[in-house]
Amino acid sequence: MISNNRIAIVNTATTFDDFKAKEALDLALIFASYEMPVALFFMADGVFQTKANQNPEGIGNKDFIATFKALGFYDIDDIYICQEDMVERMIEGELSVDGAEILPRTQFKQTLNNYDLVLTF
Amino acid sequence: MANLHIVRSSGFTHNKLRQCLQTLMAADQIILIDDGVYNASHPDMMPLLNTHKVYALQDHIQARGLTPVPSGIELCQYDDFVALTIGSDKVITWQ
Repeated sequence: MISNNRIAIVNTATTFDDFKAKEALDLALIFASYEMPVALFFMADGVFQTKANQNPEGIGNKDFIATFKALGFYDIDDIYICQEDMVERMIEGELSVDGAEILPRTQFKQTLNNYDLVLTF
Repeated sequence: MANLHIVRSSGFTHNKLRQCLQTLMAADQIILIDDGVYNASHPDMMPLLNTHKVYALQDHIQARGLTPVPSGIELCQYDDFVALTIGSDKVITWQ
């Protein structure tokens, strides 16, 4: 039954807050590998994950952020970032994800509401 | 007579930055490490940059793609961090 559901993975944590960001990404890739429709949402401190030029290896972490560039190969094309949360955190310019849609909060939440299963990290 | 405040979490999600600022004395210094480096561009931080010395660990800033940092924030290395710790009366960690 679950295979027909559209899945939204909502990132609210920073890149290195526990392993939330890594686990959210891993789950998205697993769903996508089984051809289940999955979308990524970034809000609150999760928008920090979308900053370009992060260097996890500089503090001894694996560069999982680089995998964002491969989301297209997994057919994960629906990526949404909350505009207000980006502005509040002064995030501008290049992003770590390709083809993301930056949406005002009203549209962001309406888009999220279209999904059947919502998982937050 | 001066303390070093170590801030380790994002003030956009957690309230540790605010708690730190509420206890800050005139001569105290702040260093941002771990997710605390996101506070470099937090609105509560801006007025502080004129009155207090604020450092951020360069490696932690770069790991999160936060360069360039706002002027007034001084990037430092691990050995500078150690020196700040030794040079302070007390070290208060907000985590």
